[in-house]
Amino acid sequence: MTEYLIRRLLLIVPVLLLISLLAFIVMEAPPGDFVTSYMMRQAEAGALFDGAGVEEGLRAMWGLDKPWYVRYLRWLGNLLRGDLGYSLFWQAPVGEIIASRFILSMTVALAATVLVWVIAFPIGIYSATRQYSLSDNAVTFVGFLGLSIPNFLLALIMMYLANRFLNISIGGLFSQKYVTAEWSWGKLLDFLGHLWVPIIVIGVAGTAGLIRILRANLLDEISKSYVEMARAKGLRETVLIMKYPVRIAINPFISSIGWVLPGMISGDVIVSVVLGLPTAGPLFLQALRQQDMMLAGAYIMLISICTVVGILLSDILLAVVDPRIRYH
Amino acid sequence: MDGKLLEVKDLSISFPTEAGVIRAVNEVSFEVPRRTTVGVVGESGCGKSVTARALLNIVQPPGRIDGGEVLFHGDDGAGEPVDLLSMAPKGAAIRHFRGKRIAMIFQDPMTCLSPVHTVGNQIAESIRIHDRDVSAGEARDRAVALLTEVGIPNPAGRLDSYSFELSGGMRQRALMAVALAAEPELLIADEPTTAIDVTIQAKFLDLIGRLQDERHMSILFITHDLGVIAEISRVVVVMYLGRVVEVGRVEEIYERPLHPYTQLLFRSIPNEHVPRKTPLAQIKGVVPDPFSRPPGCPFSDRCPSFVQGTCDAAVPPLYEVEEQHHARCFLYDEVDA
Ligand SMILES: Nc1ncnc2c1ncn2[C@@H]1O[C@H](COP(=O)(O)OP(=O)(O)OP(=O)(O)O)[C@@H](O)[C@H]1O
Ligand SMILES: [Mg+2]
Repeated sequence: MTEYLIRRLLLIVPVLLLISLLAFIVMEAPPGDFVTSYMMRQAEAGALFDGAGVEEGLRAMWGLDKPWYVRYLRWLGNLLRGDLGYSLFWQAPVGEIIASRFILSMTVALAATVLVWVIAFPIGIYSATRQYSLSDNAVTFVGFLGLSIPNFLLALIMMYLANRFLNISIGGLFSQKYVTAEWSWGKLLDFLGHLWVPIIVIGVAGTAGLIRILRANLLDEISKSYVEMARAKGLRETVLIMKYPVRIAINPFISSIGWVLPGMISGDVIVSVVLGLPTAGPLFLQALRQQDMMLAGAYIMLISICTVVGILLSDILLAVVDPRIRYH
Repeated sequence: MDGKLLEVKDLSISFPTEAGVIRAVNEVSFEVPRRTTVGVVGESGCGKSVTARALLNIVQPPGRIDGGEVLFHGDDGAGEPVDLLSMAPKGAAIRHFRGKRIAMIFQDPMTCLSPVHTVGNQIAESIRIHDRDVSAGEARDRAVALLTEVGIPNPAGRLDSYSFELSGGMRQRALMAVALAAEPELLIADEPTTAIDVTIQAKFLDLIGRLQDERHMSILFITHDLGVIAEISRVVVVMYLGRVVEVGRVEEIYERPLHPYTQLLFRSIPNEHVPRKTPLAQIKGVVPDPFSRPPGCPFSDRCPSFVQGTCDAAVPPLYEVEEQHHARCFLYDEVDA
């Protein structure tokens, strides 16, 4: 087990290096660079430059004239020292720009994940133990609805309904007066008051998905002989369901921890844009459009680290709960 | 034989499926005497496992029990028997019987033990479900004693093993320990030897015989291996397509099988009771699927003694042809009358 852990931890290093390289290549892929898009925006704004000279000057100033591997290595070197780089668009260190937003993203995603679990778990069990009953069919139907409605559409619908019937505006994560304010009890309460909208929007599809996974896994397990054996021993139905099939059907839940969280952070960029959330997603989208490489790269790296660490955590947890994995 | 322990009366079970209703078990009746092994034989799909589960009032969905009684005669026959099928399947009453008075080991020994719980955990659970006063330590001690009893080497060490760490034969023995933990009066063993190889099988049968002697329990032994039945059971129940077609003491059934199906069945295996010079018989045709069963006697479409107008007209009753020896065939119509 210890050896396994060390091996897994060591493996993280090359994986992250590879991801950083891939991220860099992908960011380089579109034609042009920050200067091109910068000049374009300037031109749109009506400013006129003597093209070539200025562009070259800017490139030299920002180091964009160097070959890609030089820029990559420089970026990587900074990353290793914990420096996320400098955003050319915001003219500020990436770390400063992204930190608070990324924490908000994590908070929203974490809250949504917890909600998804808390709701999906009992419903999945209920549904599986009453296969094809009226309630099971109802759950299945609602689940399919939840899975098939795109998140951004759900966000729009909720905004419309809230506006129309509750006469409130539910965009953002803070009320106007708190947006720039320091953290305080008032701001925290205000934040919690806003949090439920994105949580529901982001969580619905995840909940529906997990219910289906848990139900399918449980149905597989419930018909196995060890469950019948437990029943034939005289164990109470609820106890035996929780002790045997649920215990085994939960494995996919655990292995989902690794990707659910980063998936929720990154997958809901559109929702954040629609709802006007001050999270990292919209910032990332913007950075990509402006070819603000350092900012986009930092976002990708943060998500990747979340994913890699999450998967490691879920693998360890899986080994703890499942002896079959532990022993092999 | 020492009086009845369990009595199955007119048990019928069906499975409503998309394709139609499968009548898996039809009016099955038999008895299990005390301290006796009863063997149930029949081809695959004839309803052995479904019947066995029903004795514990367990039916797999979408199955339902359409009728019948499972009477348990407790306390050496004193007092009224209780009908296990009249109890709520998830209620407390039936749970006092499951494991405690009737234990069962299911057909697939490889998956009968949970892959994520230790053997010791599952044995201790069997003990403590029915006796809450037993402490965890005591349950452990008793688990070690049980593992010793079923012949598992290094029992104390095996307590913390998982099923996937055990060989097939050891798994089967561990399962036995789980089933016997609450000291049942009846053990139902559904094809316990099918999945293990022949040498281990013989040892396992010896073990079952020894345990029965020591514990004075009854065993309902389900198999399609007639050799095994001959070796360990005293009474044989032969099933075909969800019906009992013949019941009798083992010697009688082997020496003088009455039902044409039994006769063919016993002639179709090499057997010490049948002289080698008789060629092995083949039962013509195959077991019909649940939706195309012949009218009348379930065996009529494959039967060499088929009589048109009689066998396809009605299901024959179970005739008592000799004392304690019944057959469901119109051949014995006069005998009974
Ligand atoms: N869960 C179920 N759903 C539908 N039909 C079932 C179900 N379980 C059993 N059956 C039906 O009941 C019949 C009897 O099945 P059973 O498992 O008792 O056979 P068996 O005699 O134990 O056979 P085997 O020797 O293969 O174990 C089968 O033909 C099958 O069609
Ligand atoms: Mg069976």
